[in-house]
Amino acid sequence: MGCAKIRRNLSGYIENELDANTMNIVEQHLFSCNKCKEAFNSMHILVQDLSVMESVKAPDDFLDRLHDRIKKDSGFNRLARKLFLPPMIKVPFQFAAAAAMAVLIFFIVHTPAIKDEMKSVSTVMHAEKKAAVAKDKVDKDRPVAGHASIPVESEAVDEKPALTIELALLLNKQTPPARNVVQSFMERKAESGKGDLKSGKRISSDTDAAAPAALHSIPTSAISVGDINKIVHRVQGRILAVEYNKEKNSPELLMAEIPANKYGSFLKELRKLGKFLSPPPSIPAKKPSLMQIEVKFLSP
Amino acid sequence: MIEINRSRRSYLSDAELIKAFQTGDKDVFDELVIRYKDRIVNLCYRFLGDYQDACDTAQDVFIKAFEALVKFRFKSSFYTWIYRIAVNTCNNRLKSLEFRFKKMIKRTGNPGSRGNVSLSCSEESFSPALRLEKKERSILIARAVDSLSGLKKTVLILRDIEGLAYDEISKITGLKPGTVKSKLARARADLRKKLKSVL
Repeated sequence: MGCAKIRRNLSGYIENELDANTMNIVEQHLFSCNKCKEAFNSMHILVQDLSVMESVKAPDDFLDRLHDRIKKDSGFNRLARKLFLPPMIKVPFQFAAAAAMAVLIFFIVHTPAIKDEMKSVSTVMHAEKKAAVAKDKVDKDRPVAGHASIPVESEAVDEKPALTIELALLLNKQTPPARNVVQSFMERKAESGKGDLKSGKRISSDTDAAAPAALHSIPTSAISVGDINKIVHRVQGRILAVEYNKEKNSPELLMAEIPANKYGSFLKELRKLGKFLSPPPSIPAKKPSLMQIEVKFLSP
Repeated sequence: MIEINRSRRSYLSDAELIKAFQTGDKDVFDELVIRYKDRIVNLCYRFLGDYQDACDTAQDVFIKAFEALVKFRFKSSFYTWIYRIAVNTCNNRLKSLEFRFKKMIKRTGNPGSRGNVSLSCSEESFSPALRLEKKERSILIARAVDSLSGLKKTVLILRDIEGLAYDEISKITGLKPGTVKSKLARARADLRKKLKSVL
């Protein structure tokens, strides 16, 4: 066994932990090699010195200080310590987690497919909610038999309007000039069936010749869904819902969505049907591309 | 909850005190502190080389033990368990920036000092010259131990200064007994080289 190997075994030799054979070899070597013997002696002295190193004692107030610290160590401090200590490890991880979350949220918000899906879901929910509110309103205010809510277009719109304007329109006594009387008649026929009209006269559905006679019996203030549809489509808008009063043969409430830049034209069209109870509100300069309009039709 | 009389506490074993603590008698922790405070402070002092730091770290060790003692499962002795907490706390403290900065300032300010402490040297038979020589030698050895790296330092402190058995060191450090022995042999060899002029 060479000196290097003997010196590696010196620690075990001092501890008396080597097997008998190795112990003998080391012992024999130490008798013959002065350098290794010197190394053994110095290591032996070192181990002895370490074992008798002077010790220190805890200060007398150690326990009292410990009590104070345990009392001060409130739940909040403990939580903070659990969350942030050791800071070298936990804080970088927390930053990394926050950054990952930020990136994830950014991608969710800015990925077009997810964005469109989220918008369509929210728009459908919004339209459903509106329809439900309108239905509730009708159910509450008036008897069910006299009213019907007609959802004209139920598909989801592309963009959710942020601006909603409510208008109240007092209808003219005379039939609007743009109205197609035959279409109006056919609609009314379909909606009111074969029931009696207000005048008490019965509309014959057998021949077209009966139409002019029936037209005389239509109340002059009534407008049809077709009229509303035309106006809305003229301004490139969409009808969301129409509340229809069967007794009066007239729509009562219109919920429509129109491009904001057609608001003026839409008001102009409505003015042909009647006059506004209060001046229509103006829209802000920084307007959204779409706006929602609720028009309440009032009989003269 | 059964509260144990103060005078009776000193007769109870560590395990009995821990069971009492776990049933709700938090006061028995004082007895455990009294039993181990000197050894823990001394161990921390060996690692950190500064008495005040050692006392503060020992307090941290006991606070950690106080919080975790409810979960103690008696798989090891309390002695081994608290030593493990102390070793880990000291190693974390050694790695902390605050400690490194403090140490650097101390070195530049007072190169020979190893903490403001009055060591309990009870050997009055020594002459003043001998005592001075012994103290100087002790400071040199302590500085050499301080300069050892990581596990070598831990193993050397636990074995040669604290006098723990290999299996206890193995439990405290989580190393295999064979690894503990080889680390110790290397630590001693390194230390011998560093202290060649003194030995």
